[in-house]
Amino acid sequence: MVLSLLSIVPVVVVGQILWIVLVDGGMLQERGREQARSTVEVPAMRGAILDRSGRALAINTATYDLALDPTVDGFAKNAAAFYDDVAALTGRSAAALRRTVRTRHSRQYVMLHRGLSEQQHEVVQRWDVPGLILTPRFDRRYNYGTTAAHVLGHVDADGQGLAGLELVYGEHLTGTPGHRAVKRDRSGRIKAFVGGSVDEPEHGDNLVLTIDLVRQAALEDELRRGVKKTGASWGTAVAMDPNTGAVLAMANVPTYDPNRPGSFSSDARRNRAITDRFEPGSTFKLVSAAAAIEQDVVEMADTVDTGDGWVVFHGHTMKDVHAYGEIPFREVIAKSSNVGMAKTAAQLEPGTLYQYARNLGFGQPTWIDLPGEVDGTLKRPSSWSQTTLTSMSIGYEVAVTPLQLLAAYSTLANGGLLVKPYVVERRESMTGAPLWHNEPDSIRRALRPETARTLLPAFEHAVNEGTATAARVEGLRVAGKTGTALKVSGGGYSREHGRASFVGFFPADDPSVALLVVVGDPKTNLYGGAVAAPIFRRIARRWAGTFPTVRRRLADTRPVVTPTAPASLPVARAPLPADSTETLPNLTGLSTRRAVHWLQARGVEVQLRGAGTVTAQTPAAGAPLPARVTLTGTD
Amino acid sequence: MRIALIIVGLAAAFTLYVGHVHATQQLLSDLQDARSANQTLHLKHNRLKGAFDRKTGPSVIYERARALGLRESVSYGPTITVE
Repeated sequence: MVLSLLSIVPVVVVGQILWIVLVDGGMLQERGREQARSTVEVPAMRGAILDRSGRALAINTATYDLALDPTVDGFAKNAAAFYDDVAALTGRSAAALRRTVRTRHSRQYVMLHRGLSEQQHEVVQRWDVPGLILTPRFDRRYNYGTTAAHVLGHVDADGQGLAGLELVYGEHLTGTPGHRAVKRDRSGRIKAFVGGSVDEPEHGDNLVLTIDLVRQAALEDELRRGVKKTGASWGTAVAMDPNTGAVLAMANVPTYDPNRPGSFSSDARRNRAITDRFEPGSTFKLVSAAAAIEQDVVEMADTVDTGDGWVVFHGHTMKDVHAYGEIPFREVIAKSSNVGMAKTAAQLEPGTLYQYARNLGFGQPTWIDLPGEVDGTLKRPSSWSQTTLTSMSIGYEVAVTPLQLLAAYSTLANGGLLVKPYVVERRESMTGAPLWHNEPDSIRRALRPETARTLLPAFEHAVNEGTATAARVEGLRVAGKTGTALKVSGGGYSREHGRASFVGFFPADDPSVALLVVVGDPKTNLYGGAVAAPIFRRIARRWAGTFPTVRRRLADTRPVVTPTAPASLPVARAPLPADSTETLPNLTGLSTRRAVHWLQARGVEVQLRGAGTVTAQTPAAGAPLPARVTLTGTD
Repeated sequence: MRIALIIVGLAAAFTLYVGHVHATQQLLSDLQDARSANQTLHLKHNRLKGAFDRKTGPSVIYERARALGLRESVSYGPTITVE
């Protein structure tokens, strides 16, 4: 009996083996594979933000988080030295690190430091301490610090957009993470394996902006200097192409560094160009003037009696800075007469002025592709008081954003079309393949072309001989309007606090740039013509040469300077061929300035090494006139 | 004899197959390492270029130019490249 049972055992064993191999084998193999394999996420890289010339404004770099599993064998004996090393590396005290580890929530994991740099990471890797966990992640870097900060915005610690373009275009910038099947060995290390499924990550799109870094930096530079010089609390400046709505630059003072946004107040992080409303003052006279001209209430040459510079409307006195007497309507605009404009606007129906204000974009968003834009305040005629019509005609009882005001003046500049401002020119894949292009879009026709043509000379006159002479740029036709508005304080208007502004465009007859400057609470002077217009002029002077069409006009009006050369260099006085379009003359001995001017007048690109007097040239004299010449100077 | 040759042939084929599997596995591993190194270098390039851009950006140049006593003016003509 026993022998019989024992003889069955091998049969049972063999039967069990066959059962496992033939029946359960597939299932067990699959379970084994599942235990050995897992899926890891492959993070997608956030898209870069580039200026219109391709300079990288926001990019990704690597950063590392340092964590620890203090239960790993071998850590305890290295702990003392480890805490000292981490303290020296991160600036935290060793005692604080010990406390962090002691009070950790997870037994096997505690975060010690987030955001180690690459150099710090290399140092930590050399320590070879058991239990160390270094996790890489992407870090957002804004290469030019505060430059264009309010446009770019910033991200949080997890790389999610919190402000500016980082927020609005977050969906496109973020991308989609991929996944990769990996195999784990006995020690837990992961490896890719042949045949394992791989979903490649889709990296975020790059954004190419309408903003040019050089212009943006110049505008910020001048705005900052202007705010400082006038003792103002803040300032904002925006420029755009009036024909397309492409924003060319946008800046605020105070500003912030998006690399460390937490170090700055919310006041500094605010993009005042679209989030702040203010009573525009005289810059709003564009609306009144456009309505009056288009509704045939007045013509530019008609005389308006501004009397002794004051008038009473329903018990409220309105004043001018000076008494102008009887002046033509164009002078009312140029001299910014409140009395003249209010008297003219009083002939309009309230609904008409309201409609023109709406048509020019006030009381509604401009729909720019930036977050946080406010509508402004434009009361409906049904809620107007008896003085609203005349007050609004000179820019009171209405609140606008700087960008709305700029869009309205762009309408005047481009012949009557209200355009939609935008900041992103196009989206590209990480390899540069085009994905989407922003098409300029007009919202509506706000003015008839002939109305814009009729009004334009008055606004040019305001710059040449009116309140905005400080905005004049030699050789450049500029049109625009100053604005001075007092701030409501304690139930009335305070002369201590005001908004000085200037909005204009150039060249007046074929505008390339519309530019607005608003300065808040200036101390040295309250008037837009004295505070904001000079900032406009300095920006325009620096910008003019960056637009080829404007540059050519400037070159035509450039004052002729007779170059002088040292007596020891008689050849410098040698005349250059008046119109040599075939051969390159001998330029050595001439001042580099004169040589450069001569070459550029003939469309030759110049590469200049040094300054002073030309000592060498490539190609040599007598060669056919080339496309590019290299000059070497004495200094 | 024939059987012995067949067995040797099969053994050689099996050895080659195993070698091929290992080589492919190693190649995949090297590829992943290369991809990782590529990304690391890409990020390092970004960091270094960023540092360079910060030091040579227009706002820095403007400050330096001003410190040297240069003044802004209307620029006539195209940009001149100075080396």
